[in-house]
Amino acid sequence: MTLGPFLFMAPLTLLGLIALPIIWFILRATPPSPKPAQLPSLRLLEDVDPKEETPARTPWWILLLRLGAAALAILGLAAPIYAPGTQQSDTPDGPVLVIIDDGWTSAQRWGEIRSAALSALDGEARDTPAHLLLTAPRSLNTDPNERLSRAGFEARIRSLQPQAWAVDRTDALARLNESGLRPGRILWLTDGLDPDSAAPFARALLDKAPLSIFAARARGPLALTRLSADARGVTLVAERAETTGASDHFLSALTLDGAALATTELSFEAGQSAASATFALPPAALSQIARFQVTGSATAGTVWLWDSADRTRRIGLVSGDSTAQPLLSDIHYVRKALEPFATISEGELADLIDENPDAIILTDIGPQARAAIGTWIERGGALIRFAGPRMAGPQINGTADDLVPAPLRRSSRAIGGTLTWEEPQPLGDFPETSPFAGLTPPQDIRVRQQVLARPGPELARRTWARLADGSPLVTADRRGQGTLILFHVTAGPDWSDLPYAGVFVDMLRRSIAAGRGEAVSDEEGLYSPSLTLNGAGRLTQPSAGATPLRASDFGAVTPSEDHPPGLYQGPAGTRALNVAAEYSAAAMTDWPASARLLGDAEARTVR
Amino acid sequence: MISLSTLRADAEVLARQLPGLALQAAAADVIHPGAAGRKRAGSGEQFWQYRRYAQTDAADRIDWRRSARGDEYFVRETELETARTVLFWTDPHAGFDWSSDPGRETKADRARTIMLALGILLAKDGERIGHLSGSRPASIGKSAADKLAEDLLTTHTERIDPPRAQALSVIASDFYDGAEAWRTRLAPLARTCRHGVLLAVSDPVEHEFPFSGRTKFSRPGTSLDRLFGRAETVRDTYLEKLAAHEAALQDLAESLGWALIRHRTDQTGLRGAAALQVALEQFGAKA
Repeated sequence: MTLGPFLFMAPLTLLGLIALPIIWFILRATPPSPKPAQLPSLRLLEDVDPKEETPARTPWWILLLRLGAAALAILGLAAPIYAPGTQQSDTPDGPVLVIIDDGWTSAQRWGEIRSAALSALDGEARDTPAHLLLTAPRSLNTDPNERLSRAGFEARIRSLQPQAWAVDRTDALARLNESGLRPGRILWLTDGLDPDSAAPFARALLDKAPLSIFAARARGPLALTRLSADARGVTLVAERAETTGASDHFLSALTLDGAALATTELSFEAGQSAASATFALPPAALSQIARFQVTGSATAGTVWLWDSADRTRRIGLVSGDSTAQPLLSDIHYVRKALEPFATISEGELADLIDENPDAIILTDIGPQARAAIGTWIERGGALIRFAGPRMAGPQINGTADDLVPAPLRRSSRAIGGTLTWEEPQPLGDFPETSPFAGLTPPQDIRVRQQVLARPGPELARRTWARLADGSPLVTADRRGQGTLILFHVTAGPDWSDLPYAGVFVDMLRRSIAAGRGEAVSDEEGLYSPSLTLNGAGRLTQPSAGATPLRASDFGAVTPSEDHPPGLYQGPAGTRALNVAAEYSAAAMTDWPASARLLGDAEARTVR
Repeated sequence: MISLSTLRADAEVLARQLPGLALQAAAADVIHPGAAGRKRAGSGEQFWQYRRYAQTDAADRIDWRRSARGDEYFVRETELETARTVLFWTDPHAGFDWSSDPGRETKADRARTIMLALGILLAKDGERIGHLSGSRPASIGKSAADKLAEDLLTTHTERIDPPRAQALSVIASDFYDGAEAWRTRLAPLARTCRHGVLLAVSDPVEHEFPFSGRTKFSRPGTSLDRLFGRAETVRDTYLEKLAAHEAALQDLAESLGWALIRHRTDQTGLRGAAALQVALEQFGAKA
């Protein structure tokens, strides 16, 4: 029965309105309860008989109030509905599907996402089942078909943690389609990022069922995306999703065991999505740093793990020459080659050993301090020597120079002189096993003189570079944990054109890295995870599912459960896999119009 | 019930407002309410006479200023003074310790404040004050007011024991038990105390009877209650009864030779205290 804009579901109850006059009559007939009053002088009235016991009338406004209350109660029991048909029922039949973006981009506001998920079943019938779909792919994905009771759903949500890798919405949609689930309502809790995948995903969900979207976009810095290091310090680039307003944050540089060595400010300017911060630290401190972290942020994206490949090297230079004419000095070419990449210190050999640099470069000098430097190499140093007239000259006291990778012939070999048949030799291809493999030997340089290694069974293995005629140009040998490398030419242009060539720089860099058991290029080596990041940005022991990576895969692989972000240990030191490397944050703003928007998405529509 | 410190503070305020000094000046010799001269030498404040030094007197009793004027030694004597006793009593009935408005003092508290204010004044004048039927005898001096304040708050007895000696009595109540009932209660006391004051304290509600409609009256402290369908109809009767009661009370006071002071709690305490003071002064003059 409708009456005006009201629809009465139980119209018969309205008959109760007939009772109102009866109530009115009864209320008038019954006297109101007496007012209590205290009167100490009541004794004076002891023998007074009341003349009139007729009760006083109930005040009219009390009567009206009571009748009104009775009438409203009757109307309420008749179950009125205002403007029937204009409201859409909020509770369609069928199960509720909860989709959660649990990638690393959700970690910052995971608490809000979790609270929103916990309230997903509010307002539903008691036995409405819930289904759960997580968009970050795992090897054992949650099955969207699994029916979860209210209690089971809650326990499940409370146990969820964000993953350290990114979401894959295409894969999640495929899984959902495969399951054939027919949800009555979908709640998508998203990080509100990456419109390229979010927009089609939202449209596909809308085709299935009414969709509510709760977006919790990370505030402040979202990811550390790049690191560049040079001799002056380390510069990091951070990305954020919200570009409105300027904001200041802090970056910390931490050692592997979590001690903060330095903190620097990271300031986003209004309208900018990227900001950079520079740590100006002495090289000795830089070498201790294992990771950078946005202070106060606990996500995998705001941690940048720093592997040894990027690190600035510390080099010690020892020259036998007098430095009266620096441009003629052999060491000049080495210094110029390394200055952009390494921190160089020069001095006496004993002082340099005390400093314990990554590598020590000796130009052609006499047999000095051999014992001390031998011990230093054994403990993991890289000693790079250059040949020269002194090395090629007669041995003093008849003791052989043992700081060479391979035994040398007594005299040097001069090619292309007037008394020789041979032409000056170009560089040959680098051997496959050499750390120099992958470099292109320039064809326009010539080697005119070199020291020669005695042929031996080990020589081929120890040769890192050779001339076109096959004679070794660079030989190396391991001593304890360290490496001993000999360039069979001088560091200056006296014997060869090599110091003029660009490849000289790369050869030096790779030689330096060869100390500490690290080779810059080791394409074949397998790197197994040693420490991995979890979704909260903490370093943990790798899970059983984490598999080793080939060296060539670094830079190409996308972090996933198989390859979680973290530190990987391999033959050439540690390599880091950072989940946010080269990440570019893009906020999703183009939400489908027919979806119900909550959280940040709602804020967007209001604006 | 009022706390001891509040009672003491209120009473001090009242006592300070009362013209205590004027009383002393006016009644210096004639109607001195405090130390009453006994017209003979003894311990007291007032000079009585010089007499010749006798062998039995102690040497330090010699008044050297007088003796220096002649060859003989003189001893200064003062007039014998005895303090008068004023005894107070408060009705412990629950109907007396009652107020129609929570913001207003109860009748008993008002009576206590007034009586203590007078007690403070009297103690200052050197009178002996105390509580009737109290645990302590009446006392003199600075601590007497303190003791009285404590006794006023702690003594709750229906008994009115006559004191052993002549005293002024102040009986505070609402006297709603009826004049005849009170006459029998006060008879033993009146035999010992020639003079006294009946302090009748009442609440304004008891005078105005502002009730109407169906009202159930009860008397505090008793199970007595009466239901009136229309309370406004008994108002006139009540007021007549009240006037008759007050007249009977006046008769009672006069027949005992006592004074009656009426006080309402919507009046200032100063007014009641002043009336009580005047009554006590009159009796002091008579003594």
